[in-house]
Amino acid sequence: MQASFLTPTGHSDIFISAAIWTGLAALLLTLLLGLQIIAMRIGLRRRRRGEARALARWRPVLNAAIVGEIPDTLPPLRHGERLPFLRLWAHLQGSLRGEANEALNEVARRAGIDVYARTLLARGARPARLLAALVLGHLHDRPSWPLLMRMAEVPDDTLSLTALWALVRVDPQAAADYMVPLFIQREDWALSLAAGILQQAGEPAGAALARHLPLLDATRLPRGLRIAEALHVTLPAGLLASALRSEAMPVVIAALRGVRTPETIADVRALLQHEDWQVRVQAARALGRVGERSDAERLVALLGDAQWWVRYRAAQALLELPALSRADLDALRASLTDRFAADMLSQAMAESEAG
Amino acid sequence: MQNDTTSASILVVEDDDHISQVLRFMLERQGYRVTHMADGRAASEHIAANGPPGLVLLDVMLPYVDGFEIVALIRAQPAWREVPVLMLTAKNTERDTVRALDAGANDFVIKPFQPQELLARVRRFLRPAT
Repeated sequence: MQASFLTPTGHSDIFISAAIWTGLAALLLTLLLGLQIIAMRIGLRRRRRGEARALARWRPVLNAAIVGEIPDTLPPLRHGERLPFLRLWAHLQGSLRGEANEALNEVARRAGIDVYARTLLARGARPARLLAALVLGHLHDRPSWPLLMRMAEVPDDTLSLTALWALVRVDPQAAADYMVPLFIQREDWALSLAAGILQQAGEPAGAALARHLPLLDATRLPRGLRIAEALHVTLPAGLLASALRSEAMPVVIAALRGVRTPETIADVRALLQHEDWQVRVQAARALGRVGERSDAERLVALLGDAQWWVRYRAAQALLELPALSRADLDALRASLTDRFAADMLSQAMAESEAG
Repeated sequence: MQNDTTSASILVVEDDDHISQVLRFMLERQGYRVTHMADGRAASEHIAANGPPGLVLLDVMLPYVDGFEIVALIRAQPAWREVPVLMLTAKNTERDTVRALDAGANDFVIKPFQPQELLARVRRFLRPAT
């Protein structure tokens, strides 16, 4: 009887063949993978050696520039040296300030790095574009403005925020006008990020905020006010007063956080009795910043508030009031008949001493 | 406080390789002898096993043992107790600056730093070797 795949003998031949071929294929794939790993390791080592040579060649030049001794002639920047140079240069720029930055910029321009960075920004891979944006920002490179604006509008947040950081260094005034409404609108971007970038714009950022805030509705205004607070911008008293009288609680709370001067103190005092405890908390804090000695009585009244946080912030605000000495606070504490109020004031005083 | 030229040695404790190279270049160019430690653990071992330098230039954020602990170690070693310590603190961290001074540091430089300012602060404590 001839063997066929239906017979026990033919059946096992097929499985054995399949097993052998599968094993050979797995072995081949493993060998190919091993060769690829070896090739990648060789490539990595070659790149590291090249990087080390580039750094050995350019580090003395950059170090000399940092201490004010830029060489009269620079060595030519070779093709393979450009990226290591950029990385080292950007790292040093971020670590130093003052004349050292300008010296590094001069070396970069003489080496043609500005032209190369613009090329990377336009056509490079993502990591290269990020590096290029950093470099062009440090260089205050005006010609790269259109490219950076395009990058600021991409959906990739990292690329976008890096481009914004560079834009503000290229032209703080123009960047502030563009960025302030953008940062207000993008609630998914942390306030600290927005503040960190806008801070570099300096006074233009404050001016742009003062222009934009009156135009915002109650949904956007709290974020705008929080950005102003993060930048320590002193807003016009009229603007702040208007926000403090808003019907929208988030606006009132954000405005209270931004109170830094006594022009709106009457509005702040009125909010100490607000029905919402979060408003009372911020009103107490604001009074601690701008209040007078006579406001101590108002804050003492809040030490008996139903909400723990209101009592706590009122106690802290008492410690911040000017012209209230330690002796005054001790006398105040001794005079309190409400045990909880006295305890809260004691806690705030103990925390202040503990630093 | 100014030491004489025989003590113009500086211990630099900085984990950032690029910055440590810049610091070494700047300080050696001024005539100082520089010893570099790249992390807190190496610095601790060096402090325990060696004599004091003329000055310690110390970063705050270090691997294994941070700068504040290193200052405490230095002040605990009798031979090192009077060594001036200049700390590199990060920008916008007033707390770090206060903590550095409370820990026993003599002065601080805020990062990113100005090279000439750092050298001036070093010269307050050390006269460069000629």
